[in-house]
Order: sequence, then structure tokens, then C-alpha cells
Amino acid sequence: MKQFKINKQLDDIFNHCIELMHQGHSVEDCVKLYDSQKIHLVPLLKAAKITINTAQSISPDRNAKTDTRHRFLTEINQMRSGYNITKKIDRAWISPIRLFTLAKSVFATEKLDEILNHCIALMNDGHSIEDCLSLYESNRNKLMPLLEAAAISMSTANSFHARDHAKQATKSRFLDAVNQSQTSYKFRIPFSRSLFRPIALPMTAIVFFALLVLGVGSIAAVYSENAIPGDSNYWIKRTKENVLLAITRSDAEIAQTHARLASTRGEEMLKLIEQGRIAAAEGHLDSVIRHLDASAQHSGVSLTLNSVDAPPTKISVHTDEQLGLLKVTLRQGKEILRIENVPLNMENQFDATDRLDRIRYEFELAFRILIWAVDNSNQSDPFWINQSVVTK
Amino acid sequence: MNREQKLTKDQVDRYVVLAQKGESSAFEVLYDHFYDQIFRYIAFKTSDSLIAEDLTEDVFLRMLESIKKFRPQGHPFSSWLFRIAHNRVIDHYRKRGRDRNVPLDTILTTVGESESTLDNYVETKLAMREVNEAMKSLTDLQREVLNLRFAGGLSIKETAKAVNRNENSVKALQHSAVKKLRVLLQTNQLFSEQLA
Repeated sequence: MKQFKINKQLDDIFNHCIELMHQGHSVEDCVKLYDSQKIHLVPLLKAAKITINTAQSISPDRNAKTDTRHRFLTEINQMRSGYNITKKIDRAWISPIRLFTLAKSVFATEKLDEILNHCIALMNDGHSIEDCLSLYESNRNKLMPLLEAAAISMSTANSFHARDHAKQATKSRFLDAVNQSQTSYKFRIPFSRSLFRPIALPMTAIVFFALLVLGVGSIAAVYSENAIPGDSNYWIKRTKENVLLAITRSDAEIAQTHARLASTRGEEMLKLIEQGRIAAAEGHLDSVIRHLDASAQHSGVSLTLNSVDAPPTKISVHTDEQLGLLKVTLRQGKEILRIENVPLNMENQFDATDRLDRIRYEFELAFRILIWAVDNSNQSDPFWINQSVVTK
Repeated sequence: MNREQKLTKDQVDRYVVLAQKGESSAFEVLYDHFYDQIFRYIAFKTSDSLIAEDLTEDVFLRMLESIKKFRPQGHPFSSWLFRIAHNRVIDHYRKRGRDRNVPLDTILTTVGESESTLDNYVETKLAMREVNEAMKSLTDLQREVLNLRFAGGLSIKETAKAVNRNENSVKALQHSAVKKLRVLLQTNQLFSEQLA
């Protein structure tokens, strides 16, 4: 049998060997499995073997056994008169082997759980199904189909591999993020310990807070202008946008702001795509569509992006001038994804190109439907995108 | 550290403590140790390597944000990390709730650089699809246990902590899941010879 390379603690190994010995394996069988631990294991197992033999050699007093059996069977008959386990026990009592078989059948499921789990652990360590079956020979028939099914799932799971360059790029971004968080961490500690004396703390805190609001806030806002999802300062950018939306009053301005924010999300999507983060870009498309929905609502346009459900309908209560401004904003935004060659930082161009096309298509479609809906002339067809702009 | 070298649980715990103290090299070690496991776990769940790469990155960024809040207290770090991964996958599906009807062929994308020939590629892709379909017939908990055990490579104890169950019930779930999977795969032409 193949040598096991499991780096287990001695007590784990010992437990495993005891389990094997209970199943009829010898001390030598187990020592073969854990050859490197032979020196420690042999004396322990020999002692255990003696103890097991001694324990098994003890037999109960025949009279006591008969009395107990009688009481036991009476109890069972009273509890469950119709159940035929009494017959089984009655028969099993005569032979210790039958009794063992009965007990084994009761605990068989739990035992098989254990064995299956052990085998899966071994297979995870690179051992074969046959290695495991030879360990649990008596369970071979039940075990084999389970292990085969497990092997298929395991090999499917292991067939996924991250691309090396993607893994490295992710690592580099992750370590950058670690270093950024380190900088802020290192800044906090000396400041709090050396400069702030207890007596000066309240005053310093007020001054610090004022500076924070007046200075750092605006610096952070500028600094976060180019942030994208995953950057540590991205939340500052989103907070600034939320504040802007909160202080905007008129519906027309809110509609325009949402249209601009949809464009901003589009720019961020492009940056995500350039970094090869296609799934993040796809997720970001939801934000674009939310902004466009909001823009439509505030400009008084009922809009659906699903052309099958209902056509977009203009129910504007605003003046044409306001809708004209919105239309200009939207037209500026829709240019964002009309860049012909987004640099793809990935090897699997085929899949990525398909997915990028879908992102571009949905992005442009959403913009165009809204433009069409706010446009006074209902003659243009928002779906002409099918014929022209989807870039390859 | 050698990238292929696997850490023991004690070593992981030590690096986690160092990472909590802000030691950047500890983050690197933890990244190298867990990246493949997390990636496979997510890829097995989503059947999409590209999405898995993105989400794996997010998992590590979230780990960085909240590692100081992690308190071991009998809870392995790996279980905690896989919990983040699980939540990240749920978030991903929630965001994509408005199903854009992407065909399965598009969802089942790359199978990795190691699959060089077209035959292997197609075969693996088919196997993935079938196993993925069969997995859908399992309960959520059974599926999660197999994901954590087979793709994530977690131990029973770690899996139990990750799914908030005791070890015996995880073993029983694993057993019933494999048994059911066997029945489902056996009826499939692709595996019938293998499982005959």
C-alpha cells in the first residue's frame, strides 16, 4: 500500500490505528502506514493491543447475563410490543458475532460517514480510490460508488485554475491596498501617543475636526476624483455625489446630475475593464442603469429598458429646454463606451470580448433609449444600435 | 515563503496575528496560502473563472478591511475567510438578480491554462456543466459542504465552523450529498462508463 504522507500529531495517528485494529487490522498494518512514526508508535500500539485483548477476554457471569437479558427483553416487549427487534436481539444474544453484526448495522451509517470522510481527506492529499478501499476492505462495495462520485466532483473542482498573470495582478493590487492601509495605521499611533496630552485633548480634537472638515475633506474629495471600485478612497467619491444629489432641488437638475453620474460610472467601468476586472464592470453596469432610471423619473419620462414589455413613453411635464439640456448631457455620456479598442489585460480574449460587447451594448442601449424618450421627435428608433455601434 | 508550501493551522494562526498587527509580509503569506482555495471555491460555485478571479480579489480586500475584527475563539481563520467568500458570491448574484439571460455556454468560460488541447477543453467543459447541473439537485447546505470540502479543501472541522453545524452533521451531509450525486451522475452518459 502507498505510504501515507499525512503530517498528523501522534495522538491522531494513534487513534486512527486503534480504529484500524478494531476493524481487524494488525499492529504491523498500521506501522506500515505511518512508518516515520514507527519508533513512537510500536510501543504504544503493543500496549494498546494487550489492553484490547484483555478487555475482550472479560466475559460476564452467565447467570447475571441471563437475568439481565430477561429483564431487558421484558422492558422492550412492554415498550414496543409489535416491534420485531426483540426477536433479533433474542437470536443475537446467543451468538456474540450476531450481536456484533446487529450493533454494527445500527451504527453503520454513522460509521460510513466517518470512513467516507477519511477517504475524502486522503484523496485530497493525493491518494487514489484504491488506496482507500484497501484500507476499508470490508466496506469496499458500499464505499466504491461514493468515492467514484466524490472523485468526479473533486476533479471538476480542481480543473479550475486562475490565470497566473491575473493572480499576480490581483496580488499586486492587494499588497498595494495593504501598504496603503499600513500608511494610515502608522500615522495614527505616534500621533495619539506623543502629541495628545490629556489636558489638551478636547481643544486639539476641536481644532483637528475643524481642519478635517475644511481642509482634508476638500483634499480628499479632489484626491478621490479618479477612484474606482476597490480603491480605499472610492467611498469619498460616492459620498460627495450623494451630497451633491441631496442639495440639488429642481427635478431637471437632478435628472441632469443622474445622467452625469451615469457617465461617471461608465468611465469607472472602462477603468475596471482596462484592469481586466470584467465581473466588477458587469456589476457596475447596474449602477449606470439605476442612474438612468432616476434621470428618467426626474425628467418625467416613463421608461423601460426591456423593449418587449412596453415601449418607452414620453409623459414629460417639463419644458423642451430642460429636456434639451438633459439630452445634451446624455449624449456626452454615451460617448464614453464608444472607444473602439479598450485595452484588454487578459489572455482569454474570446470570452472577454463577448462579455465586453454585452456590457457596451447594454450601456449604449440604456443611454440611447433615454435620449430617444426625452427627444420630442418620436420618429427615431432607439434600437438602431443593433446595426451600427456595437464595437468589436 | 515558497508559494507551493502549505501552512499548518498553527502557522496560519501566527500569520493572522501578525497581519492583525499590520505586518504586510504576513498578508502576502496568507494570500499565497489561500488564493487557490478561495478561487476554486468561487469558481466551483459560479462556474466562471473570470468572475472567480474578480470575486477572489474582492474577498482578499474585504479580509484586509476586517481582519482586525477577527477573533479566533475556536473559530478557524479559514472558516471565517470562506464565509466572506460565500457572502461575496451571494452579493454577486444579488446584484445580477435581474438575470440578463446569459446562455450557459457563455457562463461556463475558461477552464485554465493547463487544459491545452481542444479535446481536453471541451471534455472538461462538458464535465463541469454536468457536475454543475447535478449539484443543483442537492440542498443548499449539501452543496455548500461539498464546495468547501472539494473545492475549498477545508477540513471537516473548518467546514463545520463555516456552515455553523457540528462536525457529525457535516459528515452526514457530505455522505448524503455524495450518495445523491452518484445517483445523478450515473444516469449521465458522460460518466456512465466511469461509474459502471
